[in-house]
Amino acid sequence: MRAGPGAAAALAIVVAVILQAAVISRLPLPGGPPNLVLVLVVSIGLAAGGSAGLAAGFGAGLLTDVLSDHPVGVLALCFALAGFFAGLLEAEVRRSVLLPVVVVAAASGAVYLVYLAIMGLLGQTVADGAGGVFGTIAYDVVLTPFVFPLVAAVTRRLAPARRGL
Amino acid sequence: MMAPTRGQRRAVILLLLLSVVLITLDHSGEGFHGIRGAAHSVVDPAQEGVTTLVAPVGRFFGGLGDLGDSGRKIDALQKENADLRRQLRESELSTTRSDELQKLKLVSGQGGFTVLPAVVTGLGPSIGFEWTVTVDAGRQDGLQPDQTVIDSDGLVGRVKQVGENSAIVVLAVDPHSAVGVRVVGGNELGVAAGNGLGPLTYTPLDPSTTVHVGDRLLTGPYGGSTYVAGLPVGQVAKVSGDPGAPAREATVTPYVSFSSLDLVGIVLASPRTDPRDRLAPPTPAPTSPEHTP
Repeated sequence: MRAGPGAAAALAIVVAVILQAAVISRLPLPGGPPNLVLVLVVSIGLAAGGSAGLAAGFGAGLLTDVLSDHPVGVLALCFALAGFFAGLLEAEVRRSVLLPVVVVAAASGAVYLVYLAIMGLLGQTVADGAGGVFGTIAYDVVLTPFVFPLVAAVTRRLAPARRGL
Repeated sequence: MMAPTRGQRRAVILLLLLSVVLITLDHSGEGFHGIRGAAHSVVDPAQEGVTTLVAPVGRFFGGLGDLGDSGRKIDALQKENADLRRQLRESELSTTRSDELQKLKLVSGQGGFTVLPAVVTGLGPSIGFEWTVTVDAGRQDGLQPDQTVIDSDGLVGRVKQVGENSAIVVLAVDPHSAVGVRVVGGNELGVAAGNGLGPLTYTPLDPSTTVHVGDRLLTGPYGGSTYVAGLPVGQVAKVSGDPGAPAREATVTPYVSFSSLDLVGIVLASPRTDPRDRLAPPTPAPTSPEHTP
């Protein structure tokens, strides 16, 4: 991966994390808040492949971790896995318009479960409980049609000749 | 699904291990305070800027969350507005009609209901067929059709049509008006019907009821009348037929002088309980000439 797409991804991640903290998490939506960062990470994975998803997920998760109260590394692990597995489906994404939505829904649920599991292992209680997860999944699904095409378009533009990594 | 390459597999394992190490370090208290602090110091200003930019949007969405609450707030504010308008009106009127206003307030205080003072600005357009007056209070002041109108002497009528700043009141003497009434000290119900600008006609519901000259009539209890209960209506002046015998009809002199209405009060909120005879005027008949035009 050249510097162009990498820098664009980093910028997008920073913007997404700030938006997530400053705007999205404060929206008084019923259920859990949408997770824009995760949608972005999964979109990067789907558009640019497993390595890009892995790196983007780890970076975005680490940045979120550092800005949150929970131990550093938890979301880095979750998002890295989400980005990586989404990246493995890169070839499939051209066949189905629905795939990004399904992958985002699965990733939202999975990340939430892994997060709860790690926090449980560490003996920390989670404020929200599991009630908000369905709201989060639903909102993430709604965000996907806006985020994924954008990420895919930028990826095509910045790395047109990319043939797997 | 694409199979991960060796390099990818290695990278995943490396990052997972790194994550676990980070989690363990942070959780065991080694701490990343410095890193966290640095990250916050970089990100927070940007975050603050974004928050400032989108604060109105946030407030909008926040507002959506408590629309019901806003509704309640609007109700409360409307009520407060109406109260303030009433007070303003009272203070305006008190300079010109302080005596009448005081009496009206006394009556409303005794009856336990909220009264909006209003001034009669004109007689109805089709006087002679329809006995109505126009008052200078309307929807903006909280008036609604069918509200009871009084003055300091007793029942005047009820609100018929409400305009923005004025309303038409049907007087109790209107020929189509029939007021459900009750005799003071008793429970016999009857109807006092209007006859134009003259005495009312009282008909007891139970024909065997004995009606006495001097009986005082109040508006009937809830359900028996569309009017607020317990308001003075009038006094029996003449009983048709044999006095003392069961009567079919009686002539009633209204307490209110309908030919010289000026300051009236619209009952905005009626009491929860029937004031019964509390508002009944003293026994002597009102004998001023204006009451018997």
